Amino acid sequence: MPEKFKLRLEFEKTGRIRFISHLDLLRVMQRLFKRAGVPLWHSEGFNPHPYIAFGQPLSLGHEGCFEIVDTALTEECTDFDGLCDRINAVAPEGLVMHRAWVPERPLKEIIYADYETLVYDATTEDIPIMQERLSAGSCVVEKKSGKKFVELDIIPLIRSFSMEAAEEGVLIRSRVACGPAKVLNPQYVADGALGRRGVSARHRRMHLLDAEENIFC
Amino acid sequence: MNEFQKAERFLCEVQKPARYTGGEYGEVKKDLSGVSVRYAYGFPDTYEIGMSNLGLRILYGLTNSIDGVWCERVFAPWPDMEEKMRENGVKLYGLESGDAISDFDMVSFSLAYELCYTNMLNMLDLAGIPLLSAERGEGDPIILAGGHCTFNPEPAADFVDIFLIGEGEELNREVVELYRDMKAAGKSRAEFLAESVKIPGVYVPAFYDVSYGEDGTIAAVEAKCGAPARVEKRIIRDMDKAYWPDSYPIPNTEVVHDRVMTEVFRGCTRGCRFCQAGHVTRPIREKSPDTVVEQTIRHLEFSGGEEVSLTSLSTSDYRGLQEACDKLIAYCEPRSISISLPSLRADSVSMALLERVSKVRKSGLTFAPEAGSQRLRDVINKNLSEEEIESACTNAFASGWNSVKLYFMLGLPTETEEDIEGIADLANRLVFLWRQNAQNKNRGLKITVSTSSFVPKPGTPFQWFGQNTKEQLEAKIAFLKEKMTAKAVTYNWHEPEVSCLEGIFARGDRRLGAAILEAWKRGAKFDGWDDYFDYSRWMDCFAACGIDPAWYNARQRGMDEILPWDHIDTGVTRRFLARGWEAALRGETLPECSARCGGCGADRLKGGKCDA
Ligand code: SF4
Repeated sequence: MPEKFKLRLEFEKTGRIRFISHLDLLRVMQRLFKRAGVPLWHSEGFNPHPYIAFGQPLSLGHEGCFEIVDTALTEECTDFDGLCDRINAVAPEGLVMHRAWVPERPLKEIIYADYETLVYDATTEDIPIMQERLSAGSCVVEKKSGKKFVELDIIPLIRSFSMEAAEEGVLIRSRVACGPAKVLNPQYVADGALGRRGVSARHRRMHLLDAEENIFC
Repeated sequence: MNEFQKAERFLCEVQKPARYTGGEYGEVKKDLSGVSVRYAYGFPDTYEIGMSNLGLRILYGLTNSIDGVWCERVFAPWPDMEEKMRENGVKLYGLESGDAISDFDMVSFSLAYELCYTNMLNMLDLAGIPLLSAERGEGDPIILAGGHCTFNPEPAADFVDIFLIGEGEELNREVVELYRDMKAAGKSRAEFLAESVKIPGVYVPAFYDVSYGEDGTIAAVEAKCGAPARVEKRIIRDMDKAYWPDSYPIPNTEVVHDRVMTEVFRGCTRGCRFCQAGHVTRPIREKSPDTVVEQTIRHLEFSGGEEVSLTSLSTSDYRGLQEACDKLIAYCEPRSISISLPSLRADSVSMALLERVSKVRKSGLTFAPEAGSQRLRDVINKNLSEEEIESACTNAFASGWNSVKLYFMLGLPTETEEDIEGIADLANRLVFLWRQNAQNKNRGLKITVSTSSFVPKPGTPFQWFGQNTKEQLEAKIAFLKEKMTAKAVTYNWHEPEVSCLEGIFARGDRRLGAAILEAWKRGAKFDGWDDYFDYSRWMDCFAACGIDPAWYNARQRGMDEILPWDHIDTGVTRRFLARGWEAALRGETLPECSARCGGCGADRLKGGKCDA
């Protein structure tokens, strides 16, 4: 088996490409690395496959500004910027590599994420009641689980939040659970704030953070 | 806000929204300041199917290579998306810009098969473009259509302004350039249409008056406004010089075929009498092996693809196959790229090649004898004998293969019960051969027999034949089901209803336009999809329009009847087809072109000899 050189890349998935699923993103990445001539390491066996792992899956429709993907190469990378440039030259719109490095910490140390959620269905007048709901001792939303809905208290999963009026609605900034043990989809923050399910909103993940709330890298 | 920006609000609520976004690697974006013609390449089926189409890759690149022209893609939205679009007042938009295609100059539709007509209407309606050609005016896009259905364009004549007959690499460019130049010169829509018919291969249905006799058959088709009496199909004479794109959009989401596809030749030398593609794509024109290799590598490097398929109607007949494969294997093997060779015959040479290119497990073997007896195979000129199948299977079973798929058609001309029984007999003989030859019987044998219903198509020797009725076909399926007794044999059949509807449109005339419009009004769409196909709704629509469907599909036509597509010239002469029909009835075969030219007439299009 060839030696395995781990590589971590920080990238964004913004604009139209936010509508591809996590599974599609995996395929797109694989194809992209291949196009860029990245010397991907492959597992041995009947069906060899490369190693590609994401920090945390990004929900379909959500943008990510500083996402993390790990992969492995068959040779040591010496020119990280050159590698990013090569990938970016053949990438679909909205998928952009920011930087690459050799990882030192495991992905499971990602615990929180910062989100910006633009709630279309709300105006400035709604802000006080929205704030009140998210500051209460508990805030129960209906969470989709398969075909059914189950109840979920989102308060323990929200680390912090703030709100402000925006041109198209209300902007919520939230820091929520996003780790191996607990995850909160920011859609439920919007649902909880307005007290109903299926609120129309657009989500953008700004950062992935560790347990100390420092940006994960 | 353009249409896409409006749609963004609800895209998360529809299935597989990546189909409606564009933004793929390889998509073409242009600066509007340099664009004078906006063109939408419409595919009247889903994104997944359209993006798997080689024609789209070629024509998208071609149209975008024209100076001042921006070609975008548009597909049929799935009904959940359609509902959201209508609810929110979002018009059908080009994937590249997100702008409404109603504001474009030209919208083309690739009509690959008869059941996509309602999708074309639905797309026009979603775009807010008048459905009828006669109702479109200055400011509305010119509606173009190409693809296999246009060898009988008549059922869609009411809806299409210009049909492009034949291969598009030169024809489409000429038509779009003419439009661009006339638009720049301030000419009107009517002036453009009148001028367009001077380009060979252009068919403007509004310039033809069709009159009917008392028996309902066509009395005369008269060309006016300077249109040619017969429109001759366009072909590329030299495939090595034909346009081939450097790039094409690589889907971000899963589609039917995501692989690199390279055509190795066009046309077919076999002359199977039921096969429309084999006739209307004549004459045979090959690419040189070097062209095949160069074009394939160009697309592999561009796309990062891991699979390539060499396509044609009958890839074993490609004279450069060995050479092209040798060179491709040298490129692909070290890069773990797999090569697939669909439409390969089961002869020994092909089998040996298949073993070399594919490292897949030995599992499936596929044959298409089409008919169950040698007699009927002679009638349809399907040159595949029982001995060939048996010897190929004997070898295959001996070397470890354990599953065989067999494809047949029911309802072929002159078919009897014996011919149908022959299907079951062949399957049973293969079971016997497996028992005799398989080294390891533990893995078991699986033989799958599939039957479809034969649809007589224009441009073939069977274009006069009265199609079997739904009842006849159902009885034949039931009969065959009874005969399929062996445990190792699974029998699958296509329900005949779809084929019966196809049979109506395949040989229909312009009067069917009313029924298509009525069916669309009553909600018909995605007729090629089981979930949406509704046979009884179609029958109600024919009745409402005073159309007798059986007159179109089940009627044996007179040999001197004027057929609705007679003014479309595929290159193959009507005389040759009539001779083929008579020979079929006598059970006489026609040698393939490589053995002896059958005189079909298509060599004329090439200005000389065929590459056979
Ligand atoms: S002209 Fe002759 S060789 Fe050419 S396609 Fe027709 S029959 Fe075949």
